Amino acid sequence: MDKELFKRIWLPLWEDFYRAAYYMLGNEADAKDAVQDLYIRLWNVRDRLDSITSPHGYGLRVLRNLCIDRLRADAAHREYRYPLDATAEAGCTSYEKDAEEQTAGRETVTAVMDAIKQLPDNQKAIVRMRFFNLMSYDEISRRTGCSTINARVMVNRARNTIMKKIKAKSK
Amino acid sequence: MKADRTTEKFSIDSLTGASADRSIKCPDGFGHELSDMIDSLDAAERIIISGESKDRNTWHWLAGVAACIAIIAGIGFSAWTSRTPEDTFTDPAQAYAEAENALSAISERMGRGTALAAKAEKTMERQTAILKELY
Repeated sequence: MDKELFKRIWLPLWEDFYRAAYYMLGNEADAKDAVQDLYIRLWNVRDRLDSITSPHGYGLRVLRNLCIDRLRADAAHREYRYPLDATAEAGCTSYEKDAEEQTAGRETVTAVMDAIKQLPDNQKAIVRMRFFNLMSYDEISRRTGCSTINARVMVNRARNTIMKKIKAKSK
Repeated sequence: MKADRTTEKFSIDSLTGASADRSIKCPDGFGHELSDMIDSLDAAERIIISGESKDRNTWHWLAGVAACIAIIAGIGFSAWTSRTPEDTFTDPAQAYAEAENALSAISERMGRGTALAAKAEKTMERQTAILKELY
């Protein structure tokens, strides 16, 4: 499932998901975090979502489990016993593992975004065109006035810089 | 009791009801933030995946260029060597007829030459006879 299709199916539901999260967690900050976690989770398993007939129902089930996880982490002295919906978890076997994966996903994205911000302006612009706007090298060449080969070289340099910074950060 | 109320609160039916509750105000601009976050997830994934396969892709690109050059060179060479020489024939009957004409032309020339040689010989015999009469 590509990015545009994913957005078309899942983004319009964000308000419903937010209201449900707010209902469970009781405040805006936690509800926003939970909804962001939900969309990261859905994005990571997007290739397995084609068969979902009710995105609204599926999203609510995943969100519920995420909120339960959050409440367990926030209030370890309470005992929560809820019937957890195993079918809502596409490929995940434990909530602790899910939380780690969510954190790893967020940290990686943050590291990439930070690395992009530190690039020289010309590389930053080309990275945005190539990886965010998904432009071809010909289109980048037309837009920037540089040759296709130069555009490739700049993208490679920027990518190498970003990968080095990510690896340095993960050590 | 508390567990029952909480369990009920987290039931799918309750959540479905809550999701439609318009009294819960959604934060302005949060939809755009989520859209930007998805763009970042997608871009980060592409950068990381393409960074890991960068060397393979470079070699694949070079191999593709080399293969194209080889194919074009092969087609060109094949076209050059398969040209039909101007002095050959594809039709056997035509080839036989041309060979026959060529041989006839050779034979005719040889025949004229033989007649000239015979005439020259008779001339020499007459001159020889005249010389013998003188001496």
